[in-house]
Amino acid sequence: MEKNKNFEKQNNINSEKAKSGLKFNNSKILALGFALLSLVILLFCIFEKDKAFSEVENRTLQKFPKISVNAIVNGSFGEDFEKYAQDTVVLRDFWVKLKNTTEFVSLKKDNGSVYFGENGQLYGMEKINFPLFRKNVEAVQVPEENFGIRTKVLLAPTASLILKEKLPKNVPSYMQNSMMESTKELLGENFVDVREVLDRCQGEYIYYKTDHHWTSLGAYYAYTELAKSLGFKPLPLESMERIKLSSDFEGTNAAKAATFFTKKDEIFAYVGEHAKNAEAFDMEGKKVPIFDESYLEKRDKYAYFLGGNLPFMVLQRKTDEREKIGNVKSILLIKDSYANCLAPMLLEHYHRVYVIDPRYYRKSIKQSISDIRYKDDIELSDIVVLYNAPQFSIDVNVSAVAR
Amino acid sequence: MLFSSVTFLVYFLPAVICLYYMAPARLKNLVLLVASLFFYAWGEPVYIFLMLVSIIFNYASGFAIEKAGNKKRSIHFVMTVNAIVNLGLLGFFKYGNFLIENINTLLSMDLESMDLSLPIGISFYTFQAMSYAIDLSRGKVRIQKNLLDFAVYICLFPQLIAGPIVRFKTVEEQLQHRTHSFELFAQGIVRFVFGLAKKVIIANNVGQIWSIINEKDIADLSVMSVWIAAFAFSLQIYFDFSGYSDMAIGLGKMFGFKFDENFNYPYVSRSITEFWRRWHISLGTWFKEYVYIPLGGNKAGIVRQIFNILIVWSLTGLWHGASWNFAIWGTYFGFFLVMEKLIIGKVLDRIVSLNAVLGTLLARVYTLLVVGISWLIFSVEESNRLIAMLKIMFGFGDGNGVVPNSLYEQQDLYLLGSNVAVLLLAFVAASGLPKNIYVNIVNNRVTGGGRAIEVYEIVLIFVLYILSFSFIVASTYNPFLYFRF
Repeated sequence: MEKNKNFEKQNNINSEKAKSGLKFNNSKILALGFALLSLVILLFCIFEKDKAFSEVENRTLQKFPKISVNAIVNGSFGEDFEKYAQDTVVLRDFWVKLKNTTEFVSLKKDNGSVYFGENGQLYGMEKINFPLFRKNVEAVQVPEENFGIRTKVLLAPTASLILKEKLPKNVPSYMQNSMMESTKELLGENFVDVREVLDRCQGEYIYYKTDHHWTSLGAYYAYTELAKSLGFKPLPLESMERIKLSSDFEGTNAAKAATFFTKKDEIFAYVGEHAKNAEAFDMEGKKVPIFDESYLEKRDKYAYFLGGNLPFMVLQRKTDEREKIGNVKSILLIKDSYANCLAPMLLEHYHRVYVIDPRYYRKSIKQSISDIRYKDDIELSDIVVLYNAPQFSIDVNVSAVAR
Repeated sequence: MLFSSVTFLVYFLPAVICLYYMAPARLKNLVLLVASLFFYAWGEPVYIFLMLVSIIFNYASGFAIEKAGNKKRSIHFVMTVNAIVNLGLLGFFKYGNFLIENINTLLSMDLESMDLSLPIGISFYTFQAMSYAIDLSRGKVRIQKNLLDFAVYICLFPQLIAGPIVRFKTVEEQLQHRTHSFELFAQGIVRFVFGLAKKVIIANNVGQIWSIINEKDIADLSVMSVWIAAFAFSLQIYFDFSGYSDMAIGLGKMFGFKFDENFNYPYVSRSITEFWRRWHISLGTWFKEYVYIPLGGNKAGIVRQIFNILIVWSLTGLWHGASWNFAIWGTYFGFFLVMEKLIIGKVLDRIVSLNAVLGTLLARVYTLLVVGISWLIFSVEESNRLIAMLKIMFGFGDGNGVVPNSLYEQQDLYLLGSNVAVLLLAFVAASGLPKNIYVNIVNNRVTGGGRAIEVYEIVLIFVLYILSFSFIVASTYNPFLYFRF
């Protein structure tokens, strides 16, 4: 707002009034109001205890930076202090929500990390790395070459592909389709294509609105395709018990774009007979829950399934069918978090389900397959690689399968 | 430290305002000096000593100039030394590596570049210091004998890192005698918050559009995307730079200082000549007073004038950064200024006289086109990329060698659609329309140094401040464009 020099030179009767000491003129109000507001914010920021973790944003917050001559001289103290100041500012959650809401209300279609779709559907802004994707596709063919064990690859599409109707207009498309097509070409029947079944059911609640995962229902539909591919008749949905776990789940995408209008998600679990009577163990042989209820109290409720991403887990039916029939099998799942709500469903067809997450599993996967195969008393009959498509293209740990 | 940061808004500014108004009159400048040095050292812990050297040198120059009195030769000598030292420091730290690069290219040598970063604000405070010395030697100002006051002039934090370039005679009186009032302080707040909103709500967001397009490979750029990029950068740099000037002027008022305007709705200009009277006014004024006029200005014939214009504008361009694209940018404007003096100006006048409305529109479109393309030159330093983008812009793109660059991509439509609100807001704000409406409705405002604030202004300022603050807290994209200046 630049001043117009002309009206400064005009004489006006009002100037007399203003100068004659009007007690509460607006300039005073603005000046004092601004000073007061600044002071209040300053005092709160100084005296309020610093939070270490933000529930709303799902990340750890910057601590007060260490004061050292070096840090001050090279400028890093100043940078870190600003991060600290931003992270610990009073009412931070309010400011973050206000900014995101302002952008949302002004018809902006993304906030830099998440797209705002119709009806509260959020989409992560995913990157696809084609060269790495091709490398990974080659790597997952190795176990079958080495061990002769049938290896299926299930690339789960994300909401960006299946629910693309609700994406904002003109969002650049993600190439997930072409990823799937080229994998199908290379692997043939070893590629489990779940696009069609998910497409058919896109009107149902198969992806979370606020989280980047599929729902247990979406996982179920994918499971039906996987079961068919493995040669089993998939269990009908009605035969599984449907449990409502929560109705105020706010997931990963909401954490990146919290607004005042963020919708909440419901989480369900579909649990079959065998999954109910199963137990699980981690790498050290310690008992761990298949369904960890403690997470339902926390923010990351999706971690209810398998207790999050352990490097290694084995799910096992309690009933010992070995006595009954000699035809028991186990399966190895090499996966990312998309598989967590699907893995227990495999207990309906396998006595044991091994689960490895290459992002955290540091031992040689090749060696582990070898160990399971030759030391275990149950035949390892199948290997399934299950990732969501974008993750598969950017994950550098997938190639560990081949080493 | 940046104005648009939590550190400044929550911690630094309230503390300084508190100390300043609690301090007795004779200590107020000391508070400002300490605060300014702290402000500078926060972002530039090492180069603060360089600035102190500059302050002391130029302070001492004042005495030398005074002593030289009327003797022409002495004055010439002192001024030459003053210019050499000031420009030498500026040249060394800012253009040293540029010089080395060019020597290497021209003479096929392999000198190592220096491990130096550019001291922030050096272009601004050096020019301010030189304006003191030159104006003093011309008898336009009196010597400043108080080192503290002089130091405050050089490094006052409102204008230290991004201008405006304040000439000594603007603040000469104000350093010792300035009045403080609620009205002035309130005006300062209004100005500051508008500047903050311009930077954080408009500039940062249109800047992201430019940033996304700038990351794309040349082959992937569509014709539309290059135009969008030029448009976006034009808006970004205007709102960022003028926003910073607004904040500087507003902060000045909060401490009783009145600075001159630095921007006056440059994008409504009807010619490049007019544009440079409205854009970065303090820089244009500096070059006119201290380079153009001493070279002869327009008083030595048309040929000499053309020469002067081209020299001054190449230097103006180069002032913005140590890279050839900046020099080209400046010379590009110099060329248009000359052409306007020779012929374009007369053509435009003729068209306007035939049909005022259409003529003005044509003049504005011409100006915006020339300026918009100039921003491409300014923002793309890599010459290969710049040339490619200019070709693509006009439909001559080579693409990836096989397929030429497309006319538009889906992403272009997405960027426009998603940002329609901020682009519209920017367009309207840059046109000066809100200000014209405001002035016409409330044009019988109070005078006499004060200006009554209306209640709705208080509400508006409050809302803008809250929104701006939220954008600062939650955004990860907050670029500082002046690190090359």
